[in-house]
Amino acid sequence: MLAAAKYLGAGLACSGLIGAGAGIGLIFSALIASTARNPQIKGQLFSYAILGFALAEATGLFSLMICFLLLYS
Amino acid sequence: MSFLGLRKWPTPVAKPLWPFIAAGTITYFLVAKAQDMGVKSEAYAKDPRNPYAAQIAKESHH
Amino acid sequence: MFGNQQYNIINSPLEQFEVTSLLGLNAPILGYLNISLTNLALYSLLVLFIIVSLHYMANNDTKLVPSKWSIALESVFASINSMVREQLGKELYLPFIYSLFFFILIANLTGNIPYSFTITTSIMVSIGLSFTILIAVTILGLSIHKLHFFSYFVPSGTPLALVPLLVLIELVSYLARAFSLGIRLFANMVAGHTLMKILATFLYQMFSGSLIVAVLTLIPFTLFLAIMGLELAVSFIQAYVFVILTCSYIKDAIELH
Repeated sequence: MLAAAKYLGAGLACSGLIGAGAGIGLIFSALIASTARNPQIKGQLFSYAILGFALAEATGLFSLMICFLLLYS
Repeated sequence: MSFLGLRKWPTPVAKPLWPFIAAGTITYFLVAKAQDMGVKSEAYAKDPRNPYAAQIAKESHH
Repeated sequence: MFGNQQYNIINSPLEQFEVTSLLGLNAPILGYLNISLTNLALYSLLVLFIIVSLHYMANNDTKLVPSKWSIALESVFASINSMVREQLGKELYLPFIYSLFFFILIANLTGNIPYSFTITTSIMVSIGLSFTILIAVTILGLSIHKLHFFSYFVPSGTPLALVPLLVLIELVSYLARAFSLGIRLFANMVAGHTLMKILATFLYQMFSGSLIVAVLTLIPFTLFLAIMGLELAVSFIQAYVFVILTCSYIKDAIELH
């Protein structure tokens, strides 16, 4: 019973990754769109995109970490 | 290349960082307190991996 | 994971983050003396040694033509310098930011070596760093602005009725920085290394099967190598993000929005 609840909880915790995936996709789509509009500031835009990517990925990784903790500890 | 007070361009490197040094000291004490609490907590006081287990057992006898 | 250690091939993937004592001195002198060299301490010393030796190697001894190492290090220095200048407008805190960047970068990169220990996956290291930065930034802001520092928590142009609510929200978001900065680094490293360990265990089982399965496993293995590349990139990006957020916190304390 407890083991089943653990696996269910781990699976539910993984659903947090939906938001992270959507966020990363949005960031890079915005990067492509803005680079197509103004290719001159490509370097600056890329550094902002990497920063946003890391921030968005971190929120997803919080839930992934909770999932791993539920499964293995 | 000179070092330690004999720099070619003497600019204060450590002096503007005093808030960080003070904060490091505060964090050191906080971590030490957390370690103390963890070592003496119920769950780990009698753990075989706890290096302070013998000392805690001796102190609790008094 | 706990208790008696089992030397199986399949261990818990979280076992790699466990701090164990390698060399211990445990004697009842001076009250009660306990000095032990844990793997955390060993890898911290290793990171220090690597950083110092890297800078020693890359020192071009004021020669006119720099070596390749020197060029690489100087370009890293130039990029951090431009980042600090962009955010703060002066180079006062450049030594701190630079050493913070190199500490986190080298700590993350040495952790990518298989069977090694990553010191940033220890919550004490990452949360300790972020706590130190938040307390330091608060002290800095208080020493520069005295009591005006608390106007940071009240955004300008707020109606009086909303002030208590907004102060509460701003205070919580300010204090959450102490955790979010460290937990971001910690969670990235832990999740990445756990994922690698799980995939590696899985691939090991597939490779040690029959020959056809082992040959077919080469396809997921290439994917695994790509994830390893991503992990190297994440080590770099996390160091960069940590440093850039530290810069913006210092800027907030100096300029008050």
